[in-house]
Amino acid sequence: MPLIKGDQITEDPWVYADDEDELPSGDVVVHLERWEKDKDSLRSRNGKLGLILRSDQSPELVADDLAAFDLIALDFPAFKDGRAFSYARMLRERFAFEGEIRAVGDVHRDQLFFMHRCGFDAFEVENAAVLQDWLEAAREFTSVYQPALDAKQSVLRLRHHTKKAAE
Amino acid sequence: MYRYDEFDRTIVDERVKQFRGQVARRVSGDLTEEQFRPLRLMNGLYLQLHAYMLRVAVPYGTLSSKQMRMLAHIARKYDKGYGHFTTRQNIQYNWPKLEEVPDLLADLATVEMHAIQTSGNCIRNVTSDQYAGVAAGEIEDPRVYCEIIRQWSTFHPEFSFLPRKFKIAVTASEDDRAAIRVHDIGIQLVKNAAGETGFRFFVGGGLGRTPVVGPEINSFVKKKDLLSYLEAILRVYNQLGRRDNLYKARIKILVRSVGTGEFAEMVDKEWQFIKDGKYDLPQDEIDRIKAYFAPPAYETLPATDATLKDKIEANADFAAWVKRNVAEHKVPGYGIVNISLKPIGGIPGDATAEQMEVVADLAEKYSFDEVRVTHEQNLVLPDVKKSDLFVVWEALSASDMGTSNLGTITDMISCPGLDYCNLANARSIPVAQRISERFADLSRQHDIGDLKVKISGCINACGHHHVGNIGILGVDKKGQEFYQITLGGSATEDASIGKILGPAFSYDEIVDAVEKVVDVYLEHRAPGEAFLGLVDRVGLDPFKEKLYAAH
Amino acid sequence: MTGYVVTANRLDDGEVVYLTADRNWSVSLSDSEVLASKEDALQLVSWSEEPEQMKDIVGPYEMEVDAGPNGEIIPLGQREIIRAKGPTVHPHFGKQAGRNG
Repeated sequence: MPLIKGDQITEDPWVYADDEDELPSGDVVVHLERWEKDKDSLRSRNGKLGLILRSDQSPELVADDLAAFDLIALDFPAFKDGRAFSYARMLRERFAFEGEIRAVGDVHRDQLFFMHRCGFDAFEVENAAVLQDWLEAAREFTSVYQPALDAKQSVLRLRHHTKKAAE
Repeated sequence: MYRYDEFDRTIVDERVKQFRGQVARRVSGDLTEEQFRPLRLMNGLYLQLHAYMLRVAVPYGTLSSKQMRMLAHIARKYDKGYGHFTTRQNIQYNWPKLEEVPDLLADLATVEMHAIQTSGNCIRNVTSDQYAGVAAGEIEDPRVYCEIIRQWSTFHPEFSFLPRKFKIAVTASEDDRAAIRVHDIGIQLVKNAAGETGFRFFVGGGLGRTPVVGPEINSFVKKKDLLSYLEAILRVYNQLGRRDNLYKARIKILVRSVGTGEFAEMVDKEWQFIKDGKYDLPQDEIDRIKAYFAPPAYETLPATDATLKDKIEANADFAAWVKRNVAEHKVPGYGIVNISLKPIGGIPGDATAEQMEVVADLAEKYSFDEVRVTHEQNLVLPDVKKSDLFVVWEALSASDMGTSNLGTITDMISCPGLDYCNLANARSIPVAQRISERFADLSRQHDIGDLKVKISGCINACGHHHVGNIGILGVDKKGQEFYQITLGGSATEDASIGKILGPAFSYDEIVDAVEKVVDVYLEHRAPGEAFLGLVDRVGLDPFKEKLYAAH
Repeated sequence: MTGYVVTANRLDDGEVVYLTADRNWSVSLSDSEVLASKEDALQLVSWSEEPEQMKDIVGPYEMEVDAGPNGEIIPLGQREIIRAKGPTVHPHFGKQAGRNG
């Protein structure tokens, strides 16, 4: 699937492994169930490790293990299922996760702006044409009311030039 | 009232542009209906029985005359010359064309209005007390906090794909005129023992299939914590609200299933992570917004007005209207005027473009340029001098808005029902019209006194039937319209859910049935006893006997 | 004798439309094709959900109808009766007023 990261379509170095697969070498993404069964062997292998969470699997479940992952993929089984917006924020704000947070599944162009503001920095999309849409979508709103995770200053800060904004 | 700054204007303008693009992509086929539907819903655009329906936001029910005139203009230019005021203080238009909606929204934007998040699984219009700022007993104007919450909730990146819609209401006195106890979050401004002002939070109230009065989860949240506490509640709901069943997806189901105490703890746990941080509400911002809600330049007037007294004595109709529709204002010499949008036999909550313009003129001339929309589908002129009441009444009466029926049996709430709504099982408006005509006699209405009749055309309860003193719910029996009666509901601070009386009545029988309910009330009531008091005292049996005896 | 008609709303203004025998969408129920079986109707509903149709209409589904004494098509159930006519409380709006939209 085409991957948008850093405002471009990029090659995706990651491979998804099903629970029963032999693990390939290189960077691999596993499901939570496999992680819980094989933590030690997964930790000790060469290559980066990623985790894919279903929408009913909160990152709280792996809060203590986050250092093991360079990537966390959050699934949208249907675009209406907005749980992962909270999961992404939790990963960034509560757990200070600095790896890649990727949106996968039923990801709609019109959600990309919100996802970005919640801390997602990579998006698996249906086709590469979505990139142009994303670049437009990212520019659609120059003002935002709430403090969030993108670089935009919230309107609240801009209005009051608080000390925090100056830092 | 609040005025947009450059940031607010930018946000609304960019939204219009975004929606214009989305409509174009739908029309060209780039977007399927499945992809487009949530986008148009988040801009308040429904597809109903006969046409699209656009729900325009009226934040906490407050409008200037300029905005009211624009609503009239929209009714004429894009619709069929009228609009409908709703139980969430918004206005709905029933006949817009899809490709004209972006232009309609652009017109609205010129007067600082929009249709953002009036539908969809996101945070909806924050509603409030229609007497905010002008009734006695209020701690502060609650609309200041409504505006703060409005901004915080607009395009909130985390909470735009919730399990279901989310409704918040805010009041600031012991009197609840905004039905906060049947909202997803109801917020009441209160003072603690130290004299500090803060917020009391009720969470998990609601109507629909599972009506419930919302329990308190926090008796005092500090002002600076308003937004962080709201974040915590929404975050818990976004993660744990059910997504497998449309009818069990509201926060009230979550609160019920884990229990109030446990839910409050979950919120608190989440809140500990985010409080005292970037979501702290700066006093600067509170002050900035408060300035917009400062009281207008009231004149210093005597409490009573001699000319008013004369007019009341000379004109019985005017006297009745003053008694029924003018509420006490906290400033001497002023009154709160309630404009009835329930003329006898009329459609509750509807107003023509001409009527909107009459109201705009009156607001501009006699009420410091402000109008309110009530959740009971009427309008309010909040600041009218007693010496101006007569001329205001004359103008209202000439436009069929002077009915002296505030709070009486003909002041009904009615949803659009099967005449307009895709979700409905039965018509509600003609039932309201026929009840209104049955009780047309004003002295009869006044003798009955306060009696809230609320009619919903389906279980979604947009007509708030669960919290009507008499509630009427339209149901479908094999393609035919039937109506179930509930008794004893209330939407005020003594909130309660009405109880089902018995088997449903047909479209032809329902008005007689309602009249029999009223007869029982009149027969049994003690002097000065309100309907709710009677139902509490004697229960449903006397009503069942009268209505079902012949069956 | 009951039959089925395929109905939808027009994309541009939301007006109720009915599928005719030559696969057009008409604002008049009397123009619609009556299918004998629900299965036939459901097949046409699927056809209506193709992208080409969904550029003009939204939300197609099958509805039950009856034949009137003069062979006219009568919708079954209050909801479809109202959809075919317009809001009963505004007789000068909708199809009943004799104009489109």
